[in-house]
Amino acid sequence: MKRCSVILIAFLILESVSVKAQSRLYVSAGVSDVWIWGSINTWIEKEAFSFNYYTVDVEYERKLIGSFSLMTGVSFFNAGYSSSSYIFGSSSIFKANFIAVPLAVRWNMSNKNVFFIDAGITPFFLLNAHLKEGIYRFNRLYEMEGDITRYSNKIYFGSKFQFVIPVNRFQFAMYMQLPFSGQSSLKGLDGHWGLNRQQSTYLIADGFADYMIVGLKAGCRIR
Amino acid sequence: MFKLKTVILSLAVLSVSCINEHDIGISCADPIGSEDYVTADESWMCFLPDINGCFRIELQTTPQIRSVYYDDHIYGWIKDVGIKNCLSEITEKPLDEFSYLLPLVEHHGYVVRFPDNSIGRFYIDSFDTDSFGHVTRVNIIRQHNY
Repeated sequence: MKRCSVILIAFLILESVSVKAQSRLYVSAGVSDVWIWGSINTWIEKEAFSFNYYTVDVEYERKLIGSFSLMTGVSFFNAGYSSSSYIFGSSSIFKANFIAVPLAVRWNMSNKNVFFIDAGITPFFLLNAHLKEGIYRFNRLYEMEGDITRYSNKIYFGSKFQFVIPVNRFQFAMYMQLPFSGQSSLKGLDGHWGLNRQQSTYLIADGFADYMIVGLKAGCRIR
Repeated sequence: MFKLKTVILSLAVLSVSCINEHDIGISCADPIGSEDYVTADESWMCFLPDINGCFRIELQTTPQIRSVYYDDHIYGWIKDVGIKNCLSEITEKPLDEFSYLLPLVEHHGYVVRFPDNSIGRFYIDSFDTDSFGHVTRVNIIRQHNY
């Protein structure tokens, strides 16, 4: 069912780009940082501006009216956090890969193709999630590592904003992706993880939630 | 347009192939409320308040645990329930064949029972040894009432 939904999304995009209209297609790639303010923020060390996550986007723009266009496409990105602190809970490294299908409105400011602002929503689907945690017990490090995709929620929703500077066929953008609050990634990991809720930072914090992805990317128009 | 379709479809197929839902395979977390406990030779481990339900750890020869009877205080019985991977795997609640004295074995689980019919459990996580191989400390994970 989940695989079918991904294929369905792909076909919808396929069909949308098949329609002949005043349209553009961009491919871009970039790096991003994850800013967390949810409960997990209490437990991990803050590593601001590390930009150790990536995004690869295929964006399709189709003229709507005046200086406004419809933006959609496919976005592959990852997000997570890393903490080596053992002070509260465990050390914890979480990384997840997602595929998103943003749907946004692009405003071509003054209709001069010098600055675009995109705003819209972006449903995104979890492809895989990996967690590694460790605690010191009896002066020894107990580590637990594994793929927790099965014990994670798969579908999330958020908003996405982009500030784009086009230069001929190229574009440079700063983007923010903000999942709606209260969407915990936890789905029954308790009892399947080697650390309990008093030990695991990920479990204590009720999973990966309440964060924002901020990134920079560059790309070019291919059509 | 055909090339574009091919590229997008390839991306979709790639994303689907990235999905994996393997079981982690390990699920032996310690129960909530359990406690790490380190004991040395001749030290006491009490499960109930005010030196009640106490056991003495003896490491001079073979590591062993002995129920302690102390004036008008509650004492306990103990039973070895075999090899376990963690405290959570001790799920037995035996009613008989308890002892006052038992050898301590690494990675074994033990159940303790008291006259008020409350029970506890503990797991021998590891032994610390000196350069001669003598056990100097016992690392225990324990819980009263489960």
